[in-house]
Amino acid sequence: MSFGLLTAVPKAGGHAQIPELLRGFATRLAVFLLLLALTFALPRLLPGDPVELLHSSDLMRELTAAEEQQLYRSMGLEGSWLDQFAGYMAAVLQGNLGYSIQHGAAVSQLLAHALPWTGLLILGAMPIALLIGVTAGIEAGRCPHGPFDLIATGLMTCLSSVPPFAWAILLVLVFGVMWPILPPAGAQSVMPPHGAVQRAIDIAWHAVLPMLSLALHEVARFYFLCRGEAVGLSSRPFIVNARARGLGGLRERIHYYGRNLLPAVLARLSDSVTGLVGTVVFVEIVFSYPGLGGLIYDAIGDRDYVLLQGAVLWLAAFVLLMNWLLDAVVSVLARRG
Amino acid sequence: MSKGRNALLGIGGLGGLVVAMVVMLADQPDATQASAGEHVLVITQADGDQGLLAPFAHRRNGLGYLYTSYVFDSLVGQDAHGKVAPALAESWQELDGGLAYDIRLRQNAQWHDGVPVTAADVAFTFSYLSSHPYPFATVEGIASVTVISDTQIHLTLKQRDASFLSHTLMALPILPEHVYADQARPERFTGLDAATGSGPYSLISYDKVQGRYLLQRNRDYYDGAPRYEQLALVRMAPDRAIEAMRADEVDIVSDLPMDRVEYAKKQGLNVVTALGNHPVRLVFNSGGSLSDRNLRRGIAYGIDRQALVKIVHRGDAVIAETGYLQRGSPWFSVQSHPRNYAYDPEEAAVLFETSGWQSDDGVWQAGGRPVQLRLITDKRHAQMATVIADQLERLGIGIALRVLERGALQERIASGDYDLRLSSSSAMGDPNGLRDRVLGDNWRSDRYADHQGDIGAVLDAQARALDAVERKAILARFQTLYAEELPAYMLTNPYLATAYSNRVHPYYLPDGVAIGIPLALPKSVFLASPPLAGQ
Repeated sequence: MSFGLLTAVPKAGGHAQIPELLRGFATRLAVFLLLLALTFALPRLLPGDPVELLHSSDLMRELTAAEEQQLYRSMGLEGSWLDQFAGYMAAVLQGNLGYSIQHGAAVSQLLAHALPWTGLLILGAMPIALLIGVTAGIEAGRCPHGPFDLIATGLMTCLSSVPPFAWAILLVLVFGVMWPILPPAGAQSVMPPHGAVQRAIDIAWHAVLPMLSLALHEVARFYFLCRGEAVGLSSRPFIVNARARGLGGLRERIHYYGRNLLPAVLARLSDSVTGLVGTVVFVEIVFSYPGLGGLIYDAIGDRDYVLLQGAVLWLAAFVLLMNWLLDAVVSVLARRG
Repeated sequence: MSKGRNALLGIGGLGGLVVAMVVMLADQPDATQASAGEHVLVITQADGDQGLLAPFAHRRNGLGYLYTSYVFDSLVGQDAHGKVAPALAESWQELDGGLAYDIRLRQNAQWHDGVPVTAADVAFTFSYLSSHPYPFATVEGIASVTVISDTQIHLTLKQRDASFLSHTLMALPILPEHVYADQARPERFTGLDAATGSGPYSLISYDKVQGRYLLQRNRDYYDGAPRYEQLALVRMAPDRAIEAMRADEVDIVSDLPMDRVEYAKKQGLNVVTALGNHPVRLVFNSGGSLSDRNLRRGIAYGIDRQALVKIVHRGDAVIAETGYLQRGSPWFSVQSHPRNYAYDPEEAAVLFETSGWQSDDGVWQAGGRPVQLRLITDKRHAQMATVIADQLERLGIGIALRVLERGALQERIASGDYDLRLSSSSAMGDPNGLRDRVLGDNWRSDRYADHQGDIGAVLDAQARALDAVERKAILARFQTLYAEELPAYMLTNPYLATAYSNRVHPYYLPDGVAIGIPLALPKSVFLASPPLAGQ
C-alpha cells in the first residue's frame, strides 16, 4: 500500500512541500474514514450472533428475552445499523472505543496492553531486516555474479518464496522443539523471574524467534532492492573511479553505496511497515504471543464487534501515520537529490 | 553528518527503542510473579485468559466459573464425592414441604477484606442478582427473603424446586454488599476489588495479557486455612506443561490430552482419568426434515459406534448411553434403556421402509429422489463427522457434510438449515439443566420439538420431586423417553485426563464440579480438609 506521495516526485521549489504534505494527510484521512465504515460493516456481515456466541456454554441457563435485549443494548447492538454506526462514531469522536463484554474490559485498555508486545516485535524485526538485507544487498551488488552474490541471491530467493507464518512454524520446530535452545511460545516464562533485569532478559529471549520469523521475509525484500540498486551504482563512474584509486572496506560500502541507497530504502520502509503489521498477526498466533494478533483472531471468532472495530482503528491509524511520515521524509530526501 | 551515518544512527535508535520497550514491559506492575516451589501450586490450562475472577467479569464458560469459585463461596458446596455439603451456610432446614428454607450462616465467615459475611450480604445478593441477571443460575424462583439475624435467613419459594440446593444455592456466588451495592453495571466493574469474595483463596494478581492468576490462601477461611499458600493458574499448552512438570515447575496439567497419557506416565507423572460425561451426540432436526422418529431410529441403528470409539477416539472413550444421562451420574438408571441401538443395518432398513423410503439398488429414495442429508459440525468434530458420513453413505444415504466455523454453525442451527448435526454437550450437573439442553431454543440444545409434550411433562415432574428416590424414578422415565424419541443420538463418551505432581491429589467428581464442570479441580482439592456432606 502506498498513497501517491511515494511516487510523486515534487516538481520544483521548497514551497510546494507543505500543501503536498497536507494533501497526503487528507488522502490518508479519507482512507481512514473508509476503513472505519468497513470495519463497522464487515463483522456484522459475518454469520453468527454475538450474544448467542457469548452464551455458547451449555452450563449456562437460557436467557429470557428481556435479558437478551439488555445484553444487546450493553454491547451496542441495539437498533438499526445506522443507529449503531451513529452511536459508534459519536463515541469514537469522544475518544471512547467501547467496552468488550467478552473480555470484561474497555477496548482501549485491552489494546494498550497488547500493543507494546506487537510493537516490540515490529520494531525489533525492522533493524534485523535492515541490517542483514542492506549489508548483504550491497555486498552482492558490489560484485555482481561474484561468489557472494550467487550464494546470497540463491538463499534470498528461497527465503522470499516461503511465507512468514511458515517460517514461524519452521523456526519453532527447529529451535523450539528439535533443538530446544529458544522458547517456542509465549512472551515470558510461565513464572517470570524476580528482578527487572532478569525479566527484561526473559522477555528479550522470548522475542527472538518471533522477531526473526517476522524479519526474515523483509530481509529478502531489502536484499533484492539494495542489490539491484548497488549493481546499478557499481558501473557508475564515481564508484569505478573510487575503486581504481584503491578505495574499499567500510568506507566504500557506507559512503559510496549506503548514502546513495538511503532514499530507496526509506521509500521501501513505509511499504515494509504495512507488510509487517499484516504479518505480525500470523506470527503472533503461531507463537501464542500476547499482542494484537491474538486479540483480533479471538475477536473474529467471538464476533466481538467492538474490539474488532477498535483494533482495526488503531492499526489503521498507526499504519497510515507511519506511511505518511516516511513518505514525507522520502520526499524531502528526494528533493535534496 | 553523512547520510550513511544517519542511517546507522537510525537503526541504532530503533534498537535502542526496542531495548527500552523490553525494559518497560519487564517493569509492568501487574505481572504475576511467583516461582514454583514450596509455597505455590501451579495449575496449567491451554485455554486463554478467563477474565477477572469475579462473578460478572469472568468469561462465560466452565473454566472461568471454576476459577472464580475459588474466590467466591456459595451458600452450599460439595464434599469430596460431589454431594451437597455446607459452605457459607452451616446448616439449613426445609420447611412447608419445600416451599421455604431456614438457613443458618457460619459465625466466622469473612470477606477477603476482613468484613464479616452476614445474612444481609445474602439478602443483598439475591436482590442484586434479580436486577443483574447471572448466566449460570437464576433467583427467579425465590419469592421472598427475610433476614432474621446476622446469621439467619428465611427464604420462601414460588414453587417446590428439587434443584434449589444442588443447583441454585450451589451455583450462586454470594456477593459482598459493601463492595457491590453501588455497582450499577457489574460487568464493567473489573478492578481487583471486584474479586473480593469469601472463598478459600483471594486473588492477589491477574495478568490478563498472559492469562495468569496468582491466588493467596485466605488464612481466616471459616473451614481452616487452605492447604496451599498460593495457587498460580497459568495458560500453557499441555505438551509444554508436561515438560515443565518434569522440571518441577508445574503441579497440575488439568487438560492432558488422552493421547499423551502414556507418555506422561512414562515420564513418571501421576495421571488420573475419568469419563468426561460430555458425550458427542448426533442431533436430529426433529422439528424439520427428521420429524419421523422411525427415521431417527433407523439412522441410529445404521451407525457403528464401536467403530467410532476405535477410529476417532483410538479407544479412549466408551459407547455413550442413549438416554442422555451417562454412567457415573447419580441420576443414571441402568434399567431404563429398552433400546441401545446396537449396530444393525437390517433393522435400519426395516425402519426406513416403514417411514416410506425405498431402496433402489442400495440407495435410499424418498419421493422418487435419492435421500441426501445435510450434516453440519465444527472443526472439533470434523473427524467424527467424516466417519459418520462414510458409514451412512455405505448404508445408502447421501450425506452433504459441512464443517463450519462457530458463528456460521450457530446461524445454520438457528435457521434450521440442516438435517443432522454433531456436537458435544454436558450430561453432568443437576438435572434441572435438562430442560434447556433438550427443549431449549439455544443453539447448543437439542431444540427438540416435543409435540406430545411427554418429555416436557417428565422434566417438569422431576423438577418438583423433592424426594431423591422419586426424582430418580421420574428421571428413569425421562431416559427411556429420550432413547425412544431420540432428539439426539448419543454416540461416544470420551475420557478426560489430568496429570499431577506428588504435592497434590486432584480428583474428578462423578457429576462434575458445581454446575457440571468436567475438571479434576473442585475447590475441595485445595482445602486442608474437604467439607463433609451436610444434613
